[in-house]
Amino acid sequence: MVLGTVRLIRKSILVATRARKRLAVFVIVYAILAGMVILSIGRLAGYNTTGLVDQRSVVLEATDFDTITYNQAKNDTTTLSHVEGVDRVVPLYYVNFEGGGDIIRIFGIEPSNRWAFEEIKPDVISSGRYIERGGEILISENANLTTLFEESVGGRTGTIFTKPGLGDTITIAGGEETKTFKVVGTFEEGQVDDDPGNTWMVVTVDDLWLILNDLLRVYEDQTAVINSVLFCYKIVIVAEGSVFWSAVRGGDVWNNVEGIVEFTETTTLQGNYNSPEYTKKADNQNAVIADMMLITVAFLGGALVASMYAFLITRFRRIEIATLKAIGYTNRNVWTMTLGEILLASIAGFILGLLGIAVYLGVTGETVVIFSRTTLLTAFLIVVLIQVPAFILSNKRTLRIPPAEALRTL
Amino acid sequence: MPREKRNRSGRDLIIAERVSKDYKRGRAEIVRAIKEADMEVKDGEFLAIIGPSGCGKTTLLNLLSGLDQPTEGRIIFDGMDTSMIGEERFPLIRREKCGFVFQTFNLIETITAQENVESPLWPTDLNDREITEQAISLLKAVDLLERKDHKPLEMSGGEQQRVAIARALANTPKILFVDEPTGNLDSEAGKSIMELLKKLNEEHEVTVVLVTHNQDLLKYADRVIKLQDGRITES
Repeated sequence: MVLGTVRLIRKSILVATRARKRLAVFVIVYAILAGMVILSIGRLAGYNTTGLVDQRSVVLEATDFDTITYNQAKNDTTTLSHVEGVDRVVPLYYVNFEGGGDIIRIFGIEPSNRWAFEEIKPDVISSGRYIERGGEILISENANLTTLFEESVGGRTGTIFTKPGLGDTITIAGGEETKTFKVVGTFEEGQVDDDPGNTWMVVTVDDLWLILNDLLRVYEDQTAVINSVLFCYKIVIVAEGSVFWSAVRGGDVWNNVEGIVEFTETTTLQGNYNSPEYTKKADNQNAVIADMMLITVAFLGGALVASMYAFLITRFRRIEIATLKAIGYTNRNVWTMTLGEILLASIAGFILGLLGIAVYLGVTGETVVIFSRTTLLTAFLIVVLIQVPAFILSNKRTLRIPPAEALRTL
Repeated sequence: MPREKRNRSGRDLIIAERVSKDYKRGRAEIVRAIKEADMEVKDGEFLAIIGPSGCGKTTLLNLLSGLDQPTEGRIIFDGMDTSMIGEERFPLIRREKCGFVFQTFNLIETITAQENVESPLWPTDLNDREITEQAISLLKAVDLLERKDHKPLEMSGGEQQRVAIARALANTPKILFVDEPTGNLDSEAGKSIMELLKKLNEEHEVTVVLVTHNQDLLKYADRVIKLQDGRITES
């Protein structure tokens, strides 16, 4: 009966598409709810991504460029990682290439920690995408790299030849070795607080070490040399705990944040950092509670609308359902016929909701990253999940319609 | 045409033995709609059940076709006691052996005539081509092939009832249960529908059980059962 069941689903979609007004109304209602669900999931996902720094991080930024050496930052990272309530400590290192009065700073970032650095996180990508693997490079969008750099860098010679732009390549040469990077994205410079002529580039941490070791011939055990080449821009300390559950249980994660702040203020670290930056517990808690309310409304509203739709389908199609039963459809067959319509409305609503959000973001210029695969899959699963009461309801109501009703004179 | 010719066996296709059916009216009142009915439907016959409105004709049709279960007595349908057939199996038996024609046609308004005729075959394991061929052949038989892409509301009442008959024949049933088929039609369309049903009965030996209050339709029947206040008064 597989062939029959597949055909029933197909035909139920056909029947649904012919009842255009009914379908249109519910697709629009679903779209609004799906939009709310997608946004909610985006916000939830944001606690580990876009909102990571705001929600549960303490940022220690160097008082000035080139003031905190690699070894100082490395020791501070070790110290901080042993503080109670710390989930991870992420230092942001960079190497300078200087020439013609301008500086190119190349930062090394672990792609999994991409959200930790406000200035160059995926939100500020203006074209292309974030780096994901070795051999890829991000550059600031107005990078001016027409100068040929041939000056000494930490006692070694570094040369950059470039044609900046998405898809172009940047070749860094050191001695006889060269390393070519492909520009996969550009980022907005709005967040970058540096001299206007200076250019920022981002590669993976592994590639940064490759530049140091293979091209500049600087190794970690050459303390003096590496400390004159590799600097730390900032250290981000991420607190342990779930933001979502903290809002319910009284703020464990934010207590951790405040504990970390207290530690940094009372302990002398090796590097010179500005005062720690973080968001206060109360502000974070309010934001999360507001998000949780949005999520609850979206979920309950979705379940309610889906159930209402199931109710109305079985009501509008009561005689049709009785007739189908009379002509030999089993309860399962009839349910499959209603299922297809509910699925069609919800999937079409989901896609429409998604397009709506895309348009909204396009118009408002917001750069909330919600179109990640995980966010969309989770949101879709939730939209499917909130259909469950609707499916149960439609099944129960379908079962209750007696086939003999088809013979009633209207 | 829907069915190969077969010999009239004259055997009892349906037997009703002292069948009664009670309904609840309001909170406490029980109404006996059918009272101790004894009757049979013979294979290949055209049987008419006649009676005034509210006498229990449709209830009796529901019981004979297995759409409803009797409160007392039993119905033997093609050798099977309907009370012994499970709720999930009965639709399959109806799909295989019964066709229904309703007074209000009960076509799905959003799909075409051809799709309506195909609809009983959708849950089966026939492939799409076989289903289409069957529907086309039936629409040809009811003389509506040129209207196959029209939706029910774009068709006259008579045409809709023809589509409903074609749909009822889609599964090549042994028996057609027909409830006031001309009730919503003008006399010309009604006549044409009755002639079609008679043709199906005579030429293709489909057993027909017709329920009506219209005396004019009795001339098409081989046998008539009269129903009065839920009781069979003449057979």
